Amino acid sequence: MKTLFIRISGVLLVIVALASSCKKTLFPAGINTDPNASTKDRLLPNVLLPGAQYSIAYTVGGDVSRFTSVFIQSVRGSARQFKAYDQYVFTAQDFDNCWSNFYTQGLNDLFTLKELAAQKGYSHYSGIAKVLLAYHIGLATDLWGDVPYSQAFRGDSSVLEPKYDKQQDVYDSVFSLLSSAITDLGAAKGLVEPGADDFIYGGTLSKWIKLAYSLEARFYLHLSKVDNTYADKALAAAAQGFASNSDNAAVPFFDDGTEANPWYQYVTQRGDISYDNGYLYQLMTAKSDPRLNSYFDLAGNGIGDAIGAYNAPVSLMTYSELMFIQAEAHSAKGDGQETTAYNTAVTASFNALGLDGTAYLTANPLIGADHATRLPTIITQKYVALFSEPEPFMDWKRTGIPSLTPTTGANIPRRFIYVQAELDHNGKNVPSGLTLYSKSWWDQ
Amino acid sequence: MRKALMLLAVLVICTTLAFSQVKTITGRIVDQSGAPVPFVTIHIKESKQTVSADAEGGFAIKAEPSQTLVITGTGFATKEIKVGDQTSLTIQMSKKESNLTEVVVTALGIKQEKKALGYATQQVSGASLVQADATNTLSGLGGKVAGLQISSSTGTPGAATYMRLRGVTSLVAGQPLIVVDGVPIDNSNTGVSLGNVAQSNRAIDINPDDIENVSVIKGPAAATMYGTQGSDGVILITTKRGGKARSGNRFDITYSANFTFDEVNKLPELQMKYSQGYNGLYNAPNSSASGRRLTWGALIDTLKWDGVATEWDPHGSIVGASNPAGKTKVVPYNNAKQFFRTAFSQTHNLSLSGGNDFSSYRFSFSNLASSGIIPVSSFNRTTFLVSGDTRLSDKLKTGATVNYIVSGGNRVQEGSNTSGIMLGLMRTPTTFDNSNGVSDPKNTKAFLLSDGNQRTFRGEGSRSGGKYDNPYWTINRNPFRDKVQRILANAYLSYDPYSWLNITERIGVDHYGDDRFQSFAISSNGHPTGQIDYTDISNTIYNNDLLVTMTHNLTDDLKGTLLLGNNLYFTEYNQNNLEGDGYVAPDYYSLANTSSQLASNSYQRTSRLAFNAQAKFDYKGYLFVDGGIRAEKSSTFISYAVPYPSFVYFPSAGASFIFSDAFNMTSKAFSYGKLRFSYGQAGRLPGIYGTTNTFAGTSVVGLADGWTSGISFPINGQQAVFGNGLGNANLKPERTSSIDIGTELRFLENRLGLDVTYYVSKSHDLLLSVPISPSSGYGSYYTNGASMENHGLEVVLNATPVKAGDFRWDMNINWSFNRSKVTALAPGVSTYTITGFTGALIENIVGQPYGIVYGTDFLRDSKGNLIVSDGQDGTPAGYPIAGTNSIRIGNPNPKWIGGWQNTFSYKGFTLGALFETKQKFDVWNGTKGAMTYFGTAKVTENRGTSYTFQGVLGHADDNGNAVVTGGANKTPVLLDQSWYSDYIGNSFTGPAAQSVEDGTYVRLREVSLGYTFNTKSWGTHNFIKSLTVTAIGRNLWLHTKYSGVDPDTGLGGSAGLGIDYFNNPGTRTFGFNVKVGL
Repeated sequence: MKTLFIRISGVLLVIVALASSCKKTLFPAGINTDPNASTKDRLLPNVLLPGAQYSIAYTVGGDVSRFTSVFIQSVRGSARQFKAYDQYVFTAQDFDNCWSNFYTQGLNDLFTLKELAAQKGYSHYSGIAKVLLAYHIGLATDLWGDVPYSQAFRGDSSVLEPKYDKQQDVYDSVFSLLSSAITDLGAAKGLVEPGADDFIYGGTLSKWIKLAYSLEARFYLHLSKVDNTYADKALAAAAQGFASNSDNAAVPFFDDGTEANPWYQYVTQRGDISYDNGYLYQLMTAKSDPRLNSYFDLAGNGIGDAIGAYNAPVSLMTYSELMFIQAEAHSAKGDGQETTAYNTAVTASFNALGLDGTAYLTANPLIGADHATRLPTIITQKYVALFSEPEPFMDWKRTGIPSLTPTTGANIPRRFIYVQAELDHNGKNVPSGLTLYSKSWWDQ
Repeated sequence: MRKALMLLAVLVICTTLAFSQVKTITGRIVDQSGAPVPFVTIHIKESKQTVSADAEGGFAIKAEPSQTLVITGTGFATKEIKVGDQTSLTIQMSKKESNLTEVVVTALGIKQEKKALGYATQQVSGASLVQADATNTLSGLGGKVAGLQISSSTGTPGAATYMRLRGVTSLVAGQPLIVVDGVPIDNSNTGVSLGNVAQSNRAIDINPDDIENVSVIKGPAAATMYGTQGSDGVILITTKRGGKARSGNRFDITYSANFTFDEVNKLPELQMKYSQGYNGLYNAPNSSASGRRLTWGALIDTLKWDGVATEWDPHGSIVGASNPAGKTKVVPYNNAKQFFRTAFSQTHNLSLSGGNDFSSYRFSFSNLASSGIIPVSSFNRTTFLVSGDTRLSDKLKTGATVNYIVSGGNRVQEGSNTSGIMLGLMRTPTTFDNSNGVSDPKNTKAFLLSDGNQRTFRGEGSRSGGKYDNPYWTINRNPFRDKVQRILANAYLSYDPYSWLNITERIGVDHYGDDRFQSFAISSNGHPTGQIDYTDISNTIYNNDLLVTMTHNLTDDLKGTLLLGNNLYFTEYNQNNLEGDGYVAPDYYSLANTSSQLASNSYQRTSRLAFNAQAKFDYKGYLFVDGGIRAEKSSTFISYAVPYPSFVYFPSAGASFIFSDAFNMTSKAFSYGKLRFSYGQAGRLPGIYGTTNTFAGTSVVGLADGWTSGISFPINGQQAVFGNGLGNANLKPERTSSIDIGTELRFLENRLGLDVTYYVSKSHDLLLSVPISPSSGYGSYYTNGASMENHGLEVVLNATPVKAGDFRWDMNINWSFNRSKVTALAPGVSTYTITGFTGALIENIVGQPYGIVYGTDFLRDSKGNLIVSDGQDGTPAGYPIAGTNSIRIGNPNPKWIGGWQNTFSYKGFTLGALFETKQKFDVWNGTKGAMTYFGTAKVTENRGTSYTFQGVLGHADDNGNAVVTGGANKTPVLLDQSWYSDYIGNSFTGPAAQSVEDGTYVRLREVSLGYTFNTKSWGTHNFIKSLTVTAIGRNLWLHTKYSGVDPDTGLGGSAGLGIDYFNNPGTRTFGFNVKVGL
């Protein structure tokens, strides 16, 4: 028995010694890392920025535009699923694509870009990322209410169930992002600078700074019901915002294949939307608005070239909107400067389409002794000028203008409902008891 | 005192030496009938000296009179005989009818006596494989192993064969591991697709004629020694080695040739009564009517040809019978029948082997040239094999094998592919002749118009949009070629420094390069501007095993064996893809002729270190107990958190009790009884790169919104990436634990044998991509979490019902069933897609068997009755209503499978027949569903007839749920174009469930009649030592209710069986084989 034991141990030792030594040869570094995949440490800002911009553009110009336009009846749903949407029949799954594109594409890319830029000292990229992040998360909270932000985008640190931040806190983050962005955009050049990868401004930093201020103005305006200093804040920011149509922030599209505008793709591949029974169409017809044929093409695809040509850009914010913000703020202050702002706003909208708005402006002037009388004109003209953008929906929530009749029931939706993917996988954090019609913090 | 003892010792030794009379003993080994027994082993009990008998049973050995010769041979009882005074011996050995001392190859190439095994194994001889299928070794196993389900992907040459051994133990079914001479080899089926060509599985490179035998190791209990590769079972292949030549030869030469013909064995039925067109009107191919896509036209009886030949039809254009221009009655074409041809294949095998007491060698060369029933399709294979074994000394043995293979062929497009052969063929209206009257499939008149556009029933390419390639166009203009060059080599050294210790070192390599070329000519429907693809694959496996075996007699009755092993396993895989789009000049198939190019690369490398330890105890030769453990470290666990992986462990234990020997129960009626039990764990590694988070471009991640096709990068030369999936730094291996209980019984002097096994296995920690909340920034997370269960029964029956004089009837029956169930996926995940089409997916669903068919059905009430519309929801009254939810609509897993082999032998004649059946399994016949929409299916021949749908009256409410409003439906409605094509009476636009069919079949898988000539009687100068001629047939008879092609078909790869969507048809084969031994 002893000999057997010795024999066995001897052989065992030999084997173990022989085979277990070469750890590094057997398992060299990087063996389980795909040489062809982009991992976070291999990313450059110029692949994150285009993705973020197009994800924003395709979603904002897609689902966000269609749903909000149906809510405020600038278009109507006529067939299949859109007929149900027109009657406010929505399920949590209907917003899944939108939320998923926001969070896993646009927002995640921007957050990753912001961190990468901070780590490598690319201040200008950091600034751009912050501006777009503010725009995007601001839009998310405007649409849904409380949304995850402070704990979001940290899946690679195993934070798989982020908590939902209060809308007020998200707004604080938005303003802090924008002011920090303005600082970054003014800082010194980094080793890598935005250029052709920036489809909005081609790397022109002065325009990004103006966009940051313009967005500040927009978000201050949203607080018209909860912050009584909103008008001053909005005007202060607007003063350094866009100066003309050449500062408009928009993402371009290029061909009628895989680089086509989202409205174009929707009307050619799907349809299901009607225009002439919408409030907007009827309003513009009643006013003989020269912009009608740019917006609608009833003989063709339905949607006009300004919004739905295959190479029509998707607008993030325009000079016209900034002027409308100023008009409303001046009007609220009653300082008499609202008329100039209003006129500039309407003219800018026409000029952007290559049209002359003089006659229209004469027929639709801003008159009124007080803010309450003037506001409907301002907001209604803004509703027309900003067709297809989500902003008129925000205006309607704040002001109730235009005055619309619900297609069914007593109320028009005021938000997107929380999505199925969140209910399924982050259910414990999703705020409960909210519906399509619930009001959020600034929507009073 | 010491000195005296020394002197005494020397004296004794000298005396012994003086008395030693080492002499040469010669002899012959014969069996009970006096016939020589070749190749048995003779060794001297007292020393290690061993010789083997030659082909005539002759041997020569040096021995002393006091020594004992021990003669052992497979199938014979061990014989011991004292040398004594004789110098020439004739030793008679008694044959055992069945293999009680049968030695089988088990895990790691270790040969063990079958009686010692606690788990179930089954053997198939190489000869049986060659008889079954000269091309694909795995096909030859069909119907021969209980629990092994063999499925064919399709009948084209070189098409893959898939195996499932005892059910599936992972969310995406794997394949049993294939080991050749102790070295695991690659059996991948790279490039499987729902709409491309049928690729091969790489085991097709092995020449069945080089195989000695196959040992199937079933279940993890047996495969624990292979750890993370063993959870689907192991197929151990042993190749032929050399041996002593036949008497009179220095070496043996064997030549065999196979000549066979293949024909289509089954096709979907086409209607031949109605013409191309729509709404009962004929629409010509070159018309602009959109109805020319379909076959809902006029009754052919009412149509005539006008006799003015055109490029569309040599008989002229079609007009109404009453039209004065009409000359002759239109005769419908059978495009399918005239397209498939009888194909001829031949195989030649030449081998040379020889050896002596110390060494043996074998060379073999083979060439297979097979053509397919589809013109142009082919598969060829040439193999060279050299093997040698030699005894360097009493203690040292070495050997090596090198096998070089070149294989490949011309493959044809299939499946969901507008260039697919069946898709184009089955949608062609019966009034259009794809061949345009020419018989040579290469004649361009069939598929080319004079203006250079493709000639199809849909009309010119530029006008129709969304057409299908004429099958003659596809075979001539859309080629696919592949060429594999492969080398399998291994070498071993076996060292016995002491009688109780053996050290074996075996090193092996499997390397192949697989070069694929594919081209679509300009005007091909899927790629109208043309496309060229090159795919270059390089795959290498290195495997090294170091095994130490120690035996010791612990007591007189108890023998112990300890096995220790070390394994190193490395793989490296590289794939380069080159794609060129947009040919500039026609008929110039080169990347240089393309307007844009795309390139991509995929690279994977893994390494694995493992240790095995196993202890076996043998008590009195009738009770065996063993236990073992395997420890593995694999590179696919490496992550930023885990730079070096730790060991994962897989245990096993088993016992085998031959109660017939223990209790001395043997009698004439009952000769052998064994009970066996085994338990084991095996597993599967996480996929490569599963631990990292990656970002990917829009070609992987997409940028769309669920309504539209979306956009893709690059845009203006800029790229974009988005977060793809979250990796997991803390992955665990998948594990399957199983228990195996069985019994083996032999009766009536081994004329009847029964082997029954029952097994239960539970798989857990299965890996899957789990969706997570998008606000984390990612959409999914790769993690362990799912679980599955399997249980089943296997029965093997061997019998010799008749044995009278020269006549003998042997019978073998294999029967088994397996039940699988997905018990959990992940929190919030109730379905997991394997493959399939939207509306007819192969899915894993919690609570269901593995891989069910998941799709839409007609609306039914809570009892499963069909809802027949009452018209209240706007749907046509009297017809079924489409359901909106997907549900289980079919189960592709068979209820049971079996094979029944009969062999009759009389003097030199042998007649064999193998019936195989697969019972109660579903196939989604998407081909028929689509053909119904198009109006080409035979079932639409009854268009215009009246039918009452069996169901209850009702409708769908606003949420799509069924509302029953009345009793049984009694209203007849018309079955016509508006139901079959315009509405939901087909699974192309309507619910998928109506195309699910039972694929149950019984087939005559193999039949052979052979005659072995008595070459001995041909004279002493005759150099032909053996000659056998055999007539063979495969798949000659098939009985099934399935209405499509041969139901043994699968488009979805080995993991997604159950889909028939324009799969190419199966074949029946007949021919003969000649085998000559020189």
